[in-house]
Amino acid sequence: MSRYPKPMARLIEELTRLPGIGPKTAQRLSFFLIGLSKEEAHNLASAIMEAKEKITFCSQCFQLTDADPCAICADQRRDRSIICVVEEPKDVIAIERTREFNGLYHVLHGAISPLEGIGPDQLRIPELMARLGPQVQEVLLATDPNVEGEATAMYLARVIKPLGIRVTRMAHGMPVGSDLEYVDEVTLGKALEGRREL
Amino acid sequence: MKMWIKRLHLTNFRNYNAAEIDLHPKLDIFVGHNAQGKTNLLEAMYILAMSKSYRTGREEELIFHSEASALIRGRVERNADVDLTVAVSRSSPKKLLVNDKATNSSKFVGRLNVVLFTPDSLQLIKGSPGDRRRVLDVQICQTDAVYRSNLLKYQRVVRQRNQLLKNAAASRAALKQLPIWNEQLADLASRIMASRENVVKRLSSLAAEIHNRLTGERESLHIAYLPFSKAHSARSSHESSLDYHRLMLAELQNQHLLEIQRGYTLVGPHRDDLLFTIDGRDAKTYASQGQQRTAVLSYKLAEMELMRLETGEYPVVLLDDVMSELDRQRRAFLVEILNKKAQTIITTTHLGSFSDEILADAAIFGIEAGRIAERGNGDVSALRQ
Ligand SMILES: Nc1ncnc2c1ncn2[C@@H]1O[C@H](COP(=O)(O)OP(=O)(O)O)[C@@H](O)[C@H]1O
Ligand SMILES: [Mg+2]
Ligand SMILES: [Zn+2]
Repeated sequence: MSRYPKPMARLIEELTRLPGIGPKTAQRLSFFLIGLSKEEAHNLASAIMEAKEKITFCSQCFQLTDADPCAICADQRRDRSIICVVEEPKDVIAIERTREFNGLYHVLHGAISPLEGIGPDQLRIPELMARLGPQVQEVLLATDPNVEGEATAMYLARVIKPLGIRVTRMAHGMPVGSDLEYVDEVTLGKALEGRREL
Repeated sequence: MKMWIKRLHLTNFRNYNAAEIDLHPKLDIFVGHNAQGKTNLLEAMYILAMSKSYRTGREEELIFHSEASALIRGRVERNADVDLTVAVSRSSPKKLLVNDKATNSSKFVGRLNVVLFTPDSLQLIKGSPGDRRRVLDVQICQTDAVYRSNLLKYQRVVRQRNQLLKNAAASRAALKQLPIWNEQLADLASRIMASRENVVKRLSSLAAEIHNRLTGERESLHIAYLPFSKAHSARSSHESSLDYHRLMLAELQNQHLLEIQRGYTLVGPHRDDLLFTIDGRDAKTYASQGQQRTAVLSYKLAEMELMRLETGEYPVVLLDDVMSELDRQRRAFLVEILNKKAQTIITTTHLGSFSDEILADAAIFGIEAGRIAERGNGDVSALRQ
């Protein structure tokens, strides 16, 4: 890599930090990037900076947002008696696409995984517990259908049910080992509809 | 009905730069000196069935030295023909393709079924419980995608749970999370155990019948499923996952303190075993080397039959270097496979005792330093030496 001029080497190195990008892809991308017009390059750079400066987490549901509270939390037409708990911001977007859910969300930002050193306190679980006021009647657990997602759902059921709140889990029948993100809308819609009591 | 590999195409796989062969549906014999690529070839076929190797967990080893990636492609003829591709690369994750469409391993495994028999297969009797579980799991996973998914999840739960138990040594607070893993552990374990018990029961009765034939009715072979819990195996058989679920919960309680002390999971089917008995005596301890070999032959034939019962088609039988000396039992074994018309792929250092009758309806290939050439009948006498 030292054979590249310094600015190019730096660009490659920065790109290599991105998830899923190896040295080869980083080289290919950097050739593409230096081939851009000055304006195009500026647009990309400023898009990164703008996103970085304006995007924050909603202080209620922890979804990505440019306004706090986010559009969903601020929307008075949404059903405030039910909270759907997901692992990642992208899961909110997947469920919104189905148009089958009209309640609020809570994004945990991960799942319980001792192997990765993630316990309940490393997730947005204390913040979820703090949201469970008298208006909340149901918590729908929509964590991923893998072992970490199941363990997280099991943990939440154990701490929420004693509060007298109904706890439900997305129906099975979703593809084995799938990420919510990749489940098609029809399947995901059905899984929401056929949720079961925990 | 059977499935068979019609064509195999290797690119930079192990010591093969580029090899393309059309196979015979009945019997394919690969002849070559040591270290020429015979086992590599069977390994490639096995990978098409299981999506990973049985020889190594480090997949870069599969790539020809100094090359960036390896490709295995096979065309499988069966009820619904299928093209399978496995691509391994040094810089990106492994890719699996079915009919040139990318897919995940749970949709890939099962398209081709194989029974593998190598000199190591004797470990089925002489080896550790882990050796026996591996052979059993490889077989069940090929025809039962739900079992495979449960097994993968189970292994993940055990690793997560082991980490918690390890953490508990430093801080007891970690134990508060144990119940959320126990539920999944018990649930997955009970499904796995019920499947294993059912499969072993059927394997045992098939193997007993075959063993009887191979030994001229002189020996009786029995295979028993031994669940991890000794207390349980003493009782009569329980095939329902409900029973195993109860067993898991009880054992989790009994072993709780010991698990914390040891720092890993002691309870569950990752500690199961199989017991082979010949005439009522433990084959591992009491059978001669020859008896053990024959028991393994019987087991492999039973595997083949059971796979056919599950899928309606015979699997491909891969025999690595185990047929060079055809004694009476091995000849009977081979004839039995050939009569069933399963595709049989044999590697050997010399054609030795293969009869003209067997060779007449076979394709014979020579392997030398990663190059494969089909031989005509004229070459056969030379290869016999
Ligand atoms: N990744 C690799 N690249 C090149 N050669 C390899 C690779 N892996 C194994 N080999 C070679 O393959 C040969 C062993 O082939 P194998 O099929 O095990 O032999 P045999 O014919 O005795 O069964 C050895 O010469 C080894 O060096
Ligand atoms: Mg070999
Ligand atoms: Zn919000």
